[in-house]
Amino acid sequence: MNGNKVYFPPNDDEFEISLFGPGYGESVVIHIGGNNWVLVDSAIDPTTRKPAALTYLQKLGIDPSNAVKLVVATHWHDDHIRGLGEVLSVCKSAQFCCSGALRASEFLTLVGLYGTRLMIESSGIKEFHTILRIMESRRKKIGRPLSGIKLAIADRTLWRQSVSVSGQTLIAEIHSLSPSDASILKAQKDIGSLLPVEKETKRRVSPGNPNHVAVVLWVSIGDISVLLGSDLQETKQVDTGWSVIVNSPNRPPGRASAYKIPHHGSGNAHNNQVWTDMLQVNPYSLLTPFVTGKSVLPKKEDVKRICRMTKNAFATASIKKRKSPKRSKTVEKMIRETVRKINEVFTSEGQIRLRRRIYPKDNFEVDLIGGAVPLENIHLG
Amino acid sequence: MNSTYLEKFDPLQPSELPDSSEVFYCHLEGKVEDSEIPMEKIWYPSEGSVHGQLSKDTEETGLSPDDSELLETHFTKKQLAPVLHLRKVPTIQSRFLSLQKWEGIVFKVLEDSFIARLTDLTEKGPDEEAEFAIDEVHEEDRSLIKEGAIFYWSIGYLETGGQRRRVSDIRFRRLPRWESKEIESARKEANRLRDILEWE
Repeated sequence: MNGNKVYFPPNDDEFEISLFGPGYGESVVIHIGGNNWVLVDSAIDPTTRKPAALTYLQKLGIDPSNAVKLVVATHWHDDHIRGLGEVLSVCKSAQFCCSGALRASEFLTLVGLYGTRLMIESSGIKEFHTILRIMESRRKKIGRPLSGIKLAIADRTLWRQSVSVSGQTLIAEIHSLSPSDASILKAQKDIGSLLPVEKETKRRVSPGNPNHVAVVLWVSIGDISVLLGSDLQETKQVDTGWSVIVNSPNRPPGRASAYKIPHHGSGNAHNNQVWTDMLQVNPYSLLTPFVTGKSVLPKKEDVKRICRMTKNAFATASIKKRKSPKRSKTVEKMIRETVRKINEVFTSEGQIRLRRRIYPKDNFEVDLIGGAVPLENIHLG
Repeated sequence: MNSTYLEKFDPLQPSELPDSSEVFYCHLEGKVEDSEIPMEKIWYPSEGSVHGQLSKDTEETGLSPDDSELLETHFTKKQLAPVLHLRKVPTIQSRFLSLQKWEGIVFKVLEDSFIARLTDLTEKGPDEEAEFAIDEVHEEDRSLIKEGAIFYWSIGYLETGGQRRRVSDIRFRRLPRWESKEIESARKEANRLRDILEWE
């Protein structure tokens, strides 16, 4: 798309959701009306090496220090949190929200152990260390309420505000639908197992699988509802994963017209009841691809499954054959003699943007920016 | 300054500190690796011995109560790391001409290979992923191939006594072990954060 036509801010009476990725990660930017913005997770733009959300707001001419009201870390995987400390630092009026599982002493100890060590790369933990230090400094400087860390748990209202739209006063709300109590308990045990013991050799801490404590969000204003699936996976157990959400009697009513598909469209994050009970027919469905090592998401069968569920599915980038940077012939030869395989990390950047008037009822206008494609074309790159 | 390690070397006097063209970075088995010195620059000692001193200690990233200063500290200034000035006393003239260096982090160990994320230390380029056969790693380093382990991969020419040969070298970092006081200190810090921050 022509850049001049893309980078203009939404009107106060327009709702917008943008999904960025993969870059280094995945992030969501939402305008919920009345110049109230919400940022969920963080992706690094591979070109500018800055958080994609901040770069985008800057292009729109939005001042994040006042406009952003909530910054959410859905979980602590590197591909969702990289750059979030910088985001929070700039968004001075925003409240910070994270999974209820992360208040555990085990996690805070992990942050204390790995957050300050120059020698042990662990960006997810280091990012949280930065965030906690920011919150600590805000506590000293500002006091309540901005110093508080909002803990997201199942069926909780995280943020609510009246927004005046076209002469109507509407309530804008953000609810967390996860993690469940059982997921939080399991996470505490898992995180505890990551703590080192005396005399153990130091190494980078691997977060394991924190997807089961990922924060799923329900965003609503007027007749618009959006479901953001983060990386939450299905566990086939009634007290964790998507099963808790679809069976909850306390989740907000209604059906979402837009859906951030969880965990890059993987089969293990699919729950049929989400599509039948929580989404409108043919919801706008957005995902970011994920490619690392031999793992590629979504797989071709995932694409088929999602495209059967909706005619409006989009991906932020196509999955292209990766290559290595160009180097001198001598260096190339020596590389080939040493490694079995070498590829550039998958970082092609794209953005899917949905916009519509909040009132009266309207259709979403879809913009595919950068490398974004209809989902059916994701493997044609 | 980490005096524990200084005493293992013959410290250079300030007047003897080499100018920038003579700064060597070295790989010292079991000595420097136990300190907090990043080993991203590796010099391969051959038959020489090495004398050196730490000239600057690690500076922890400072935090200001003001977020804008915090931003600058965290995201625009590179974290400082100690610089190790070394004097080489060679017995055989040798020189390593580096063509390309990476820092790698192992993220998956397979049966006879491992997959790692590589950061280019020669030029600011995109990160890469590579699969290495375990055979490519020195035998004494193979026990270090674990998820999360950090290594350095250098390729270049080693010139020794008029001979030049191509070298591709993978060296795993030997990180120190966790001490009980570090773990205890982190626990205290965790309790402090839990108590002073408002968790809603």
